[in-house]
Amino acid sequence: MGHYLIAGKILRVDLTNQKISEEPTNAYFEQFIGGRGINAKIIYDGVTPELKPLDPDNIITFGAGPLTGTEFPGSSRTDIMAKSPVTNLLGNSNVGGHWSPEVKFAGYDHIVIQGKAEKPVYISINNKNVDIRDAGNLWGKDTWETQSLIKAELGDLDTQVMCIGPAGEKLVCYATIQTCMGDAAGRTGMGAVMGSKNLKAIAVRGTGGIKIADPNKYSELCKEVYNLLKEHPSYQELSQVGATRLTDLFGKINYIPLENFQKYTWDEGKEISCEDFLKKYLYKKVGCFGCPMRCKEFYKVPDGGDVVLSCNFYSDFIWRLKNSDMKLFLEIASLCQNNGIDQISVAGIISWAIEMFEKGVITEKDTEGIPLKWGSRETIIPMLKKIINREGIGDILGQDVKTAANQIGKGADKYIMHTKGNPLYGSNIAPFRGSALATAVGSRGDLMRSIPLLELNRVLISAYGFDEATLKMYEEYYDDLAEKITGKRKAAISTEYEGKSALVGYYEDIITINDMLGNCKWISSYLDIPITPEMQANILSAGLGISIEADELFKAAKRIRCLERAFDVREGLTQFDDTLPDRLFEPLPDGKFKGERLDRSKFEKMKEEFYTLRGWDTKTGIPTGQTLEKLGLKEIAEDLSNRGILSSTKKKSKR
Amino acid sequence: MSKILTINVEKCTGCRTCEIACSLKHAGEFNPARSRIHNISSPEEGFYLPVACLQCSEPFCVQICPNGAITRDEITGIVKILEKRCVGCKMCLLACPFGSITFDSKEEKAIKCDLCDGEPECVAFCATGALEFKEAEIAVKFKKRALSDRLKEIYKGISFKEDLELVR
Repeated sequence: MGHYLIAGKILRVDLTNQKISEEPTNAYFEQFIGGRGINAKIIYDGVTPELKPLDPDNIITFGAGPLTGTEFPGSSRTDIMAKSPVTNLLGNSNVGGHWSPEVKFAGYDHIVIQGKAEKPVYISINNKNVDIRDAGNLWGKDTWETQSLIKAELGDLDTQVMCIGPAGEKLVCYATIQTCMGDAAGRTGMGAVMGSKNLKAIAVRGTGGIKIADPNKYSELCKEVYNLLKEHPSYQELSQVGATRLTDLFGKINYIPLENFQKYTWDEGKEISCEDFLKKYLYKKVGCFGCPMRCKEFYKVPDGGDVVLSCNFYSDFIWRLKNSDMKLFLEIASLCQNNGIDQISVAGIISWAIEMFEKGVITEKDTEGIPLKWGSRETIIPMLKKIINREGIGDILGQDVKTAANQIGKGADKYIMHTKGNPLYGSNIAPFRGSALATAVGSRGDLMRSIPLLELNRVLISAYGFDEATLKMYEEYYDDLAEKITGKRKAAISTEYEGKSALVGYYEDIITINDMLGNCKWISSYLDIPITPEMQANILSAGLGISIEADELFKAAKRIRCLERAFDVREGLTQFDDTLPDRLFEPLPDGKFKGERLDRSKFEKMKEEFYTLRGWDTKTGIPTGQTLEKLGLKEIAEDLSNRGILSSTKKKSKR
Repeated sequence: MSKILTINVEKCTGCRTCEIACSLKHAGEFNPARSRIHNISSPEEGFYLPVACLQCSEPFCVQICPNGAITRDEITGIVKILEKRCVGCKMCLLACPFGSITFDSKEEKAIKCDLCDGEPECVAFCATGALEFKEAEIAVKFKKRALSDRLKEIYKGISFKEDLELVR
């Protein structure tokens, strides 16, 4: 009877015929563990290349992991997957908050949605009771009000809600799914997929428990993890000042691109201190379920309202748009959260528009009289609102970048900074060769699924103002770590190419492991915190009552990554899509890395090394039949063979 | 000197680790519904309050229990439900003015915080120090300190002499 750690059931809801069904999680668990892993399998099996991302039959799946909802710190994550309207490939975003623990308390590990409701609806899950309810009165409401209204309607304030805002309803390509206070599944347009299904929200309430095979041991091990975590400098930093101070440091090392990746220095930026802003207006540090890190900041700003921020907001809406007005910054951030739109994409799209305006590709005729200027409130606010409401030029820019560029014409595509259609993060990746590689080959077409933080950290420490001896100590620490991971000390140095494929592979595995366990990667080896896959495997073993080794977690991570890749190649992805915009291969114009250039042939060589390391074809990047079989994905190999994608194995058999 | 559970709402981030730590220790599973402590959250305002039994000196629950299932330890001050004696009548839920007693539907018994007999698991897992277990006499001294700090700020710039004159 019963299950340990996992809830044991996957809930499927078909909105077209209102069919609700369940299936056991066990069928997936052994190979794909949970979260992103099981999601990938469900999407691979259910979403074929013929389906368009906003077709009713596209599937969107929400997954918790085996550690979700337990004492393991940061076990709050929900992994969301669907075919992406941004990339037309596998879309994926991972979000914190309180939602997926509640899903497990309700008795489910995954919630899989297919079909399209006739009218706006939301799904209410209360333990075994699953209801598809009218959302007519919620349509058009912002993401905060939607959550409050649903809680009030259901009469239980402990209900947890995932929802879309007006941007998702209007099918803005970069729409997010939001939960709690400003937590967003931001990337790859998962909110647009929900919108296309007329699905406003999923509300969950559960009163069941997660069973543990060895509660005492589980608890003891989690206490050890807590103690390790609390002693670590990353914890001290994130729990006190979040990622806010990081933005100031990023500015110092010219890590944030300005003017659509044309510049990396900004004199006015030197005067801006996000740390001072935090000290002045921080009301409270807040966090997700089961998380001691509390990396988000709750601000109460006089005349600026209440905003919860973390991560990229500062770099996107201060630096990238050259905006030095903190009130405007808060206003933009609020608009994004309320309307459910991805701030990273929006910063990229508005930057693209401003550059096009400067280059004469678009004019005031296109923008309905709005002159587009960097750092201007009169540019940013109306453009943002146009995109959210799909009005005027915003209707064009609210689509995927390739379609938008085609409609604009006049060489508009030259100025989009994207990979696979996904607008780039606000990171100066060219002089960070590992990050450049990660952006090109990473899952979902962006940096964050495989960023080798080590090479960034080794540069970042130069901005802390340490004395020379301390700096040297840190540099050696990172060099040692790089050697340990890749066998090459040089891999720690950002501008080197050597060892970068192995470094990216390692970080990609670590991130995947956390995504499949339902953990926050910020509480793991990803941030050099000594909470390793070995420890995660021990805790998993205590919870499950069976022995699991770290090697098995690594193998599962490789399997999942390979499956995701297989999905993408089935969609038509080729090695030529694993690239970066031309601009990133030009010598850098200014800043710390002035004159540095990402060498195209060395970049291609890194790519080939990475493919080889992953067991993908060195030239085409298609997972080989042998690799797929070795990872237990024989049925995937057969599918790709039947479709003529795995030609090499077919040819061999014919010979 | 008995110790009490203190709550500093300014430090609470609403992470609910206290709930799952409590439920694992007492119910053997992670389940906030079976926890003895509950985080009542108002996320829109960033306000969170963990609510657990306040261990009254003259507990209404003890008085109302028809089967003598709730006792108070005179030395530690811990008010405890004797599981075996609890008949599940729920009168204690009714009597407690703070809602600190919960009903466990699975066991069909009333449940409440027993301070883990002096080593509260929630405190062990509270990362911010919002929950602490301290001697009653000094438990809320941090509030007096906060008051003193606020006054200190106001007094900055006012010399002591002027201050005395103000008093006169």
